[in-house]
This record gives sequence, structure tokens and C-alpha cells, in this order.
Amino acid sequence: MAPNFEEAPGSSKRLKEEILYRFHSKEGHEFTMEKAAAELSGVVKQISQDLGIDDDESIRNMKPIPLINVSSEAFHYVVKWCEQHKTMPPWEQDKWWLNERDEEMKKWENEFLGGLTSEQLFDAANYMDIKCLLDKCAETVAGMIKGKSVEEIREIWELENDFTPEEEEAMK
Amino acid sequence: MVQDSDYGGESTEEDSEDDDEKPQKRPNPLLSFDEFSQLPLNVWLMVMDLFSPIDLLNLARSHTFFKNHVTNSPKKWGYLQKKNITRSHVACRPQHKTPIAGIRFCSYRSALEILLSNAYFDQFGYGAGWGLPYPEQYKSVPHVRAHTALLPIKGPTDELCREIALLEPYRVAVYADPKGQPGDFGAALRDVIGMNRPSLWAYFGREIDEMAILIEAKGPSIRAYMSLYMHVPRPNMDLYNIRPASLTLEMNPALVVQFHRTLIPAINTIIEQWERREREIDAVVLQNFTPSNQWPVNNLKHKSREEFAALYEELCQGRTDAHKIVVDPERRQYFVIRRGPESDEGLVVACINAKIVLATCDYTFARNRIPGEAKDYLQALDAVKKKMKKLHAAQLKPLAYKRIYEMTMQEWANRQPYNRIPDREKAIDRMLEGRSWGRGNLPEEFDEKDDPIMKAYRRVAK
Repeated sequence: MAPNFEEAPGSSKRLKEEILYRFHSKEGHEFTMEKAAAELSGVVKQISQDLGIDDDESIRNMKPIPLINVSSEAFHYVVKWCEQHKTMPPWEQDKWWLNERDEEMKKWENEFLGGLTSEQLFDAANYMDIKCLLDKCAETVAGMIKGKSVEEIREIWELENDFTPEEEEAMK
Repeated sequence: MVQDSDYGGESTEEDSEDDDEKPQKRPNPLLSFDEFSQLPLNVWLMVMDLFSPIDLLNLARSHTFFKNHVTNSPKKWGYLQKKNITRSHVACRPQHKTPIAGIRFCSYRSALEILLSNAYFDQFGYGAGWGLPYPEQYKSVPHVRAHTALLPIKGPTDELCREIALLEPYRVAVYADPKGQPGDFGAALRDVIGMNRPSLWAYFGREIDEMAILIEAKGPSIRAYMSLYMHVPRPNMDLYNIRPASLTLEMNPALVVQFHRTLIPAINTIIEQWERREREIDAVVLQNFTPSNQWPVNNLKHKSREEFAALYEELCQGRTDAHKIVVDPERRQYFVIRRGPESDEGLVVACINAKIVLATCDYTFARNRIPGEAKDYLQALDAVKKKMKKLHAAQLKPLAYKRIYEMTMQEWANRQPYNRIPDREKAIDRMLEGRSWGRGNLPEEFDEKDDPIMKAYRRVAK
């Protein structure tokens, strides 16, 4: 069943009273995102700064931000992530040990990422510069490999052993 | 609304039927190999940074693609190819160079805790005479949400016995101000019992004059203070969180004649309650504290032996699993009581330096202790302690200070010693939660087979 982006959480049919940023996905779908949620994105912040958009009225009147590298599917998940995290304190990239999440949020994040199998989310997070999502994606991917043996890694990624016996011997 | 199932997140009934018939399929990875290899470079590096050397090594051995990336850094590859690399050689994030020490530190700390929790009473007799901080010092210690109230102490010992039997050592504690005036001891105890506050600590000062009560002191912080009174050498206390006595009573012999013998009925009641699982005991220390803490050594030894004999005679009657162990006939002898016929829990009853110590332990471990083994234990303990100290010192570089203690080196240096203890404990807790040493929790298991210290620890602890 094809997703109905018109009614998605970030679709343009949402309440007009809210202060919403508008976005255009790669496929041309229009999405909206609350101000607090959208400002988790470094790109949105930068664009707002560059365009001198600093009040709510300007945000309402601004044109949709084109996200030429973000698919609608990925953006749907980005919106879900951002809306869930909009009330969290700003993500500290350098002082990462200050980024605390309560158990409920951690559980939500794990469940959220547990069901995804797409690199598009990675690309979207990277393109939109959403650091908390990007970090979480990186952690999740690293978690697939951490502590695994060579055989297990090959099994996870369905890799074939392309080393010659001599190379294998040299690596031991 | 778009449902998650729209993106394939939910399985249909047909799928689930198929799952029953087919062998269980491994869940799809978040990214396939092709997707992973095509990630933007900054993202790719971000993921690679999260791998430990051993993970990188495994990755490099799994496919030429990864090997080529890893071998782009010959130095790193040379390091990875060292023999006997273990999980403890972790340097997960290049910008944080110290997790090797951190993880080993935690490992040793864990080892130390096991050693101490099994036989920490061996430490009694060492370091006795440590100065006791005054209540004024407690008030300035951060992280302790406590206030003190002064109560007078005086009263007969028979009343004291009854009151002690009613105490719940796991929950109640009293602090005595060494500087105060004599007061009503029994009344103070009644007040304590009436409060029924959790996580408090008891200390009746060496010169019982006034008693202050610490209220609502939270667990981790109060543990550090309690451990100060365990007569364990201070270096241990500074670095490690040692299992404390939940109740420590120290009394002036001027008030109590034949203290141990008088307290035997109370101790028996406590033990019976523990056996019936009506009470949990962490550790109880009953001490006949002299004003100067310097009894003549011979007299002390004689008195300890005499009291121990009386204790053994009274407490081991009818307890078939009670076992007497003489580690050191001069100073250390104790007996261990089993909580139940099938239980692994034991209670050590020791009589050391005019103190009666009750401490829960691993029954089998305590039962199997033999004379002479204490030396091995202490050697292992010392080795672990030294290693921990070294590792801890290695971590104390400026950035590490900032990260661990959330203060600069200068701020740390300005802290008073008794202020550093809760700070360290807090830092260690943070480390164990994985917040200071990388993302996520520390690895729970890692190979320490080649480590002589861990070998010694295992030999003694198991």
C-alpha cells in the first residue's frame, strides 16, 4: 500500500494556527513541520538565518524549503523524529556525554530505528544536519557490528570471503 | 494518517504463518553492505569512530573493502595486528584517548568489589585509628541532602539491647557528635526507630556526648561516608565504593560493661530475624570503642578471643551450618552462618579488635576459606588496588578531569579530601553508566585471560 503523504504528520493539511515550516521533498510532496521540531535541523536554522527570518509571520509567509536530496518516505520519518524530540535540550555534538535521554525516549528511539531498513534516513539526517538523528543512526549501525566475529559480520552483510589464503594467513 | 505499516513495519497474518514454517530469519540490518559503503564520508567516519579496535580488526578481516579502508592508516593496522589484542584495548573514539584505562579501571573495580564483598572483613584491624570527621564537615559536603539534629544520650545497657534488636540495620542509622555531652542513649534510639527513614547511617561516637541524626541522606553519597568508618585504608575509600556497614555502633566502655556479652541476645535476635527473612543485613558493626582507641594489645587480643568464644558458644547452638574459621589465630577468626538449608547467602560473625561484625557474604566462599589464603587474597587485592590507582592517575589529564568530574584540575585540587569522595563516587557511577567512556554501556564481558592480575584475582575469588 502506497503511503498517503497528504495526511502524514508533516503534511500541509495541518492546523494553520501552528507556526510551521514548509518543505518540498525530492518527489515534490509538500510537508510541514512545527517550528520547534524544524529547528532541530541545522539546515533549517541556517536558511532562516541567511534569509533573515526571525519572526513567526515570516516563517508562515516563506516559501517551502526544497529538500532535493530527501525522499518523501525519509522525510516522513524525519518529521516523526523531530516532533518527538522537539522538547529535548539541544544536542551537544562535542560534549556528547551531556546528551541525556530518559528511558522512555531511549525506548522510543530504539523502536523507531528498529523498524527501518533504509539508508535514506541516514542521507536525510545528514543532508538536513539533524545531529541527534545522525548520531543515533550511526550508533544503531555500529551496534550491528560491534562485538561480532568475522563470520557474523559476513553473515549480517551477506559478504563473501574475498581474501586469498595467503592474505588470510598474513592477517592472523 | 500514515501508518508505520505503510512502510513495511508491520507484518501481515500471511507473513506470520510463513514465519512458522520457515526457519527463523535474521532481521534485516538497518543498512545493507552496499548502502553502508555508499554513505557520505563524514557519516561513514562517524560510524567507524564508534568501533573498537577489535571490531575494526574483525571488520578488516571480513572483506577487502574494509581492509583497504583500515589499512589506509598503517599505524593503526600495525597496532591492530598486535597479538593478544583484547576487548580491553578499546580506543573507541579518537577524540577521547583514555577509554583503555577507563574500561580496565571498571574491570578492576568490579573485581575489587567482588573481593571485598566476599571477604572485606579481612580489612578490619588495618588502618584502625583513622580520624573521624566531625559533623561540621558533613554539613559542607555536597550531594548530601541531610540535616542534623542533636539529641542527648544516656541510659542503661539492657534497654540498649532491646532497642538494638528492634533496629533495622538496613534502614536506620544514627550519628553521634564526638564533641557533645552525655545524654539519653535509649531515648535517642527510640527516636531513630520511630523515624523509620531509609538509607541512614548510625554512629555512636567514641565519646558519647551528643547524637546527631542524618536524615534522608541518599544511598550512593552516604555509602561513601559510611565506608570511612570501616577501618579500611583510606586509599581504598578514595577510589572505590566499598560495601559499607549499614549500622555501626561504637560505644564508650564507661557506659557498657562486657559489651559483647551483653549484646549477644540482641545479636541473636537480629540473626534470627535475618534467617526468617524478616530483616536484611548488609553489615553490622558493634564496637566497644575505647576513648583513646588504644587498648593494650595483649589485653585486646585476649578480650577478643574471650568474646569470640562466648559468641560462638551462644550463637552457633542449633545452627548446623555454622562453621568456625580461623584465618589468623591472633587476630582473625570468625564463623559463618547459613541463611537457610539451600541458601547461598551466609552471615559472617567476626569479633575483631573489640568489634563484633556481622556481614552478609557468599556462604560457600566464606566456608571454603582456609588459613593462609587470606594472604593470597590480600596480595590479589593489593595488586588490583595498585593497578586501579595507576589507571586512575593515568586518566587524570586535564580533559579527563573536566569530563569525569565536571570541574577543572584546579577546582578539583581545591576540593577538600572529604568532598572528593562523593565526587569520585559520582564519577564512577557515570563511568559505569557509560556516559563518560563512550556511547552506550561499557562492554560487559571482555577477555582478561592474559592479565596476571586478573588471574590472581580469579584464583582467589573463585
